[in-house]
Parts: sequence; structure tokens; C-alpha cells
Amino acid sequence: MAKRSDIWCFLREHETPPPPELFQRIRASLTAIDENNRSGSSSNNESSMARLRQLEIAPPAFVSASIKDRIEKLRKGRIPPIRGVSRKRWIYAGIAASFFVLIGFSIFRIFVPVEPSHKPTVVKNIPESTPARQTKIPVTGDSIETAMSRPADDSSARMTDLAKSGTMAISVRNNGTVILDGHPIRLIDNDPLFTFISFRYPEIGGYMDAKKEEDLTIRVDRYTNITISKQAAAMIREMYMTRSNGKPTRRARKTRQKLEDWKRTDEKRFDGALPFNPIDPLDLGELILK
Amino acid sequence: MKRIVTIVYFFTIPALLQAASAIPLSAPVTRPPSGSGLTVAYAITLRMKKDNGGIAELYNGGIQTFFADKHDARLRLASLMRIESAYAHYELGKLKKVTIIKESGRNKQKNTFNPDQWDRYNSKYDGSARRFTEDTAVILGHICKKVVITLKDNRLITAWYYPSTPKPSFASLLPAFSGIPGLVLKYEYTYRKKTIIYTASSISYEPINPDVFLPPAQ
Repeated sequence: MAKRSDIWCFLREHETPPPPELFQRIRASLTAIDENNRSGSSSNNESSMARLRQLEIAPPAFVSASIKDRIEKLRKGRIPPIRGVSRKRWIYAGIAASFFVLIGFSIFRIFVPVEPSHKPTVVKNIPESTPARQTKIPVTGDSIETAMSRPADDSSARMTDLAKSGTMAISVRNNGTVILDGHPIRLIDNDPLFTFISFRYPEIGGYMDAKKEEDLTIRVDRYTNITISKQAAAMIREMYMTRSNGKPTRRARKTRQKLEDWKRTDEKRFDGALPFNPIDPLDLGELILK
Repeated sequence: MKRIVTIVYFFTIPALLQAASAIPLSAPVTRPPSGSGLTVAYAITLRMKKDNGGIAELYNGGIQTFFADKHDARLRLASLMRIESAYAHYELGKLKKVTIIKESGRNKQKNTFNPDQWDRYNSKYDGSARRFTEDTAVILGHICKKVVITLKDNRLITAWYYPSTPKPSFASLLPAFSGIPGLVLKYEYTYRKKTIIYTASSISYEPINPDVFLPPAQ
């Protein structure tokens, strides 16, 4: 019964037009009755319409009073309209329930102490701007040197894991391997910069270009992620720019030349017998901040 | 009433969610140094007016990691430009030798120093003065105190340290910080109005695998 209007809609689809002569016959019949009424020839010929008028039944008085009262209350906004009351109640109940759940969850998180996990945690370098926290570093099991001293061919599973993490992995040992966009690439002389500028892996340019908007990170090991600064990344990208014939552009050649010059300057400063140590902040700072 | 409920709901819920998410599920554990191991990773950043720092960009974003246990210590610089480590070995609490190894590039270099040679190598820090200030900074949840180190030739290094029992091996590999009563968690050096900053990004007191302290074979 609740979907009465739907029933009518449904029935409407089965509508059948009446025969065309029906209207003419009804009109003729009504006209004849009307003429008889006018002539007043017989009291028995009272129009059926007039008889129907007598069947009018007045509604009880309290119904109209109740309707008026309800309309008045609706105008004043004291009660919501009858339709939709239950739905809004459900909405408010849902809001209240979610509110209490969130309050409960917050209180739980704030006041209930949580035991530190004893599971190994992979260390990620935390940017300076993020909230500081102390991080446990698992050093015992798969430490830096043991992990890095594995033969490159034997470490495919680890490399796959690193590829999934979206970072590059560089061994600090010789014959290290880089994971570049999911593809392992062997480092040349265990040297990240030289590997980038050597052009032995032309796909590096494509990768750098694809990651233009993201911070590029080289994963050295579980302790260390080297972040490539935006300027350095832009230079490496420039270096891989090519002309239509596939040869490097003039700008690319100049950028490569600049990076090679910097490398030579760095080696001249820190390699050999000169008393400078790149690990020392003064020695490093006075070279690179010139 | 309806409006008040709506306003309270939409202002309170985000605040509660933010408060809840700010608290880590596994709360940070501040463990005192046990003496078995210490690993501190320092992120290297630059502060300069110009966007392009030239050669400095190849060190910007690098990491310097300090590893120490009872008998050994290692300080490793890993950057786009180079990877290099300094290994220190101790016997009966005294420094026996320091080995610096360049791990990247075609020309792998190895220099070994005995304690006297190492002292001479770092003679620029002899006679440096330390000025402890009241300034503090919070690094990795630790309240660190500021100290300004002035070298004989008036060069300045600013450091923030967490007051604790100092690790002698740290000062051995970074002699600029000898005499500082605690663990240095941030240090910076300004040269020609540009600054190189080392900021601790993680600390661990877990034991370290001895292989970490073995210099790689040439």
C-alpha cells in the first residue's frame, strides 16, 4: 500500500482508449436528461447529478482542527513535516554514532600506551620538516655490509623488493647494482654520478623525465637514502636531451662537460695525498660552498 | 539546533582525527645508550641564496652515517658525487688506527693513519674554543643545546648536542666535536654566506653487525 502511486503508474502503462462512439452516446444521454429537467415534466426525472449532491458527507470537526493545528506548527518550525522525519532521524543518529566512535578512537590512541613493536623496521630518512622521532634500526640480521657484499646476481629477490618500493638501490661495494624504475642496472665503478653521466644506460634520461615532479631518491641501503636535489636532477635530465637524429643537444653536451669538470675538481681536492677529507665538514664545505 | 550540531560535527571531527593521527601507533621509544651500538644518520642539506649551488648540488641530499660499537666506529659519507668511509679501531678503549677508504670511482683510495698521524691530520681543531649557549633545538625528539666551536683561525662550527654520555669514537672521527658533553645531532658550517648542514634523521642503539666495521677489500 505504501507504493500506491507506483501501482497507478504501472497501471497507466496498460491504458486502453475507449471506443470513439462512447463519448457521443454519453453526451446524447446527458443532453436528454438535461432537457427533461428543464421541462420539469416529471419529478422522477431528477438529474442523477442532483441526487449525488445529496450524498455529501461533512468531515468530523476534529479533522479540520487537527490539520489547522499541524499547519500552524509547521509554519512556526516546531515539528518537521511528516514525510522524511524517519530519514532525518537516521542521518542524525548516524552522525552521532560516528562522532562517538571517533571520540572513543581518539581517546584510545591518546591514553592507551602501546608496546613498541619488536619486529624489524626498515629505516627511512626523515626529512627535517617532519615531526622528529627516534627510529629503531635493525642492525643485527641483514646489516649493511652483509647485504651489500652479496654477489649482484644473487640478490635479485632483494632488488625486486627495492623495485617495488620505487627507489633505486646502490651498493656501497664494487659491482653494485642500481634499480632504476624496476630495472636493475649495474653501477659503473660503484659511482652513482659516473653511472648517470656515462650514457651507458640511455633509459636513465627517460626515468628522470618521468619523475620530474617527484623527489628522486637513491637507496643505498636500509640506513641511507640519497636524495637527488632538484637542481642536480634537472642537470641530469638536460644531459640526456637529444636532437631528432639521436645525438645529444649542445646544451646536453655542455651540461655533461660541467658535471665532469665538477667531478675532476672534487677528485683533485680529495683524492691523492692532499690533506683534505670529504668527511670533515670544514674540508667539504670549503670546496662545495666556494 | 540542527546548525549547531552540523557546525560542531564538521569542526570537531577533523580536529580529533588530526590529533589521533599525530600520535604514532608505536610510540617513540627513547632508550638510553646501552653501550652496545649506536647508529646516527645525518642528512646533508645546503642553505644558500641562489637556487643553483653548483658542485654543492652533488652533495646536497647526501647522508653521513655514524656507526659505533665497543671497539670500532665508522663514519660514511654517501652522496651522488662520492661514497667514502672512515673506519676507526680501538683496543682497550684507545684509538689504534683510522682508515679512510674511497669506495666509489675508478680510483679506490685507502689511507691508514696511526693515532699520531690522525692527530696531525686534524691539527686544525687543536686549541679550538667551545662556547655553550642557552639556545636549544628539538631534534629527533631530543632537546639539544647549542654550542659554537671557534677554531684558532676564527672559523666557526655551530652544533646542537643532546646532553648524554659522550661517545669517544664520535670525537675521534669528527675531532671538531671533542669535549662536547653529549651526542651531536646537528652541526653546520657557514662559508662565504653559504651553509652546509648535517641534521640527524635517525638514531638507533641496536647492536651492529661486526661486518659493518670491516673495510672492504681493494
